[in-house]
Amino acid sequence: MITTFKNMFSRFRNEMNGIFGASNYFRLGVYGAPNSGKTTLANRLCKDLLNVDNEFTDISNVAHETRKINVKEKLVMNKNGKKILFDLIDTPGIATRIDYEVFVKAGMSQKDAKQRAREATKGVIESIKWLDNVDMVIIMIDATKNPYNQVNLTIVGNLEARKIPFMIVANKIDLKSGKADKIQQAFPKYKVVGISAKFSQNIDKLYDELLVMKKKMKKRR
Amino acid sequence: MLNIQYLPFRQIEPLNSSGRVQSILSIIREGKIVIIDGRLKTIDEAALIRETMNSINEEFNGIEIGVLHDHKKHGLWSKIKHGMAKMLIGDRTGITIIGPAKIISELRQHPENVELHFSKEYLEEHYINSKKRKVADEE
Repeated sequence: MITTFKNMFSRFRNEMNGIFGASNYFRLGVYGAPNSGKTTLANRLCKDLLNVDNEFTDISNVAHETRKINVKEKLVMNKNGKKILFDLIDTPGIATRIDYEVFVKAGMSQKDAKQRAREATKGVIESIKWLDNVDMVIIMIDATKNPYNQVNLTIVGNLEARKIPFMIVANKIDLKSGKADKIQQAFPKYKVVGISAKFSQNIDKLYDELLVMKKKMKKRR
Repeated sequence: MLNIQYLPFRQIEPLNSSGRVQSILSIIREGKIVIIDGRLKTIDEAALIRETMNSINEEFNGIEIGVLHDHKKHGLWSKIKHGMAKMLIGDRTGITIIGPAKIISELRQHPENVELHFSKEYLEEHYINSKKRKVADEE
C-alpha cells in the first residue's frame, strides 16, 4: 500500500516536472541476470552521487540477493558542466529458473531457501513489470560469463520493443576472465562499456555514456 | 528416455501472447523439451518468464530457453524478402528450444550452436541408474 502511494506520488511529481520544465529528470533502471553486479553498481552510484557511506542495498555472492525493486530518488550527476537528475531503480535479476536447492547448497536451511526462492520468483515478475516504469536502462552483463544468455537477449529485445534507450555494461573486468570485448562481439549493434562496479574501474566512462544517452532520450512521460 | 516435442509455429501464431505461453508451458510441465520452428516475440519471451515464475513449485523449478538463428549479414534484396515474409507469417528465421530446468541444467548458446547440458539428477535417474539396473538384471 505504502509502495503504491509512493509510486503514485513519484508519477505526479514527474508530471509536474514535465509541465514546469524540470525535464532533466528521468528514471534509470538497472537490469540483468542474477549476480551480474546490478546492486553493486547501484551502491557505487549512490556513494559517488549522493556522497553516502552506507550501502543502498545488500549484496552477496548468493544469487537473488535483491528480491524486490529498490528505488533511490533524486540522484544528481554533475559532469562536464552538465547536470542530470534521476531516480535509480535497482531490480531483482531476471532468470528463467529458481531452484531452492541452490540456496541450500550455499548454506541456507531448507525453510529459508524455499522462502528465498518464493521471494525471488516474485522479484523476477516485478522486474518485468517495471520495464513499463523506466525511461532509460543499464543492462548489466557479467563479462566473465557467456553473453549469449537468452535472458540478456530478452531484456535487449523488450527494451527495443518499448523504445527505451539503454546501454550495455560489461561488469567484472577486474577479473582475469572478464572481457568487455567478448560482450561487444555478442552485441555488435550497441555500445558496450566495460567496468568493474566493485572497484570503480572505468566508471567515469559509464557516467559519460549516461550523459550521451540522456541527450538522445526523448521524453517518454 | 528424452522426450522432444515439435511445436509448429503456425499452431501458436494465431493465439494471443497468453495462449502461446500456456501452450508452451503445458508441454514443458509434462517433462518434455519443446522445439518451435520460429522465434517468439520478445514480449512473449518476457511473458513466458513471468508465467514460468508464477508456476514454480517443488516439482517445477523453471525452464531453460535457447534460440538459434541466422546471425550472418545479408544483402538488401534478401532483407526485403525476409521482412515481407516476417510480416506475413511471423519470424521463422531460426528455432526456439525450451526445456524444463529439471532436465536441462544449462542451455549454453553460441552464435551458431546450442549446447544442451543435462542435469545431474536427470542423468542419474535415466542413464546411470538404468544402466545399473540393466547390469543387475543380467546378473
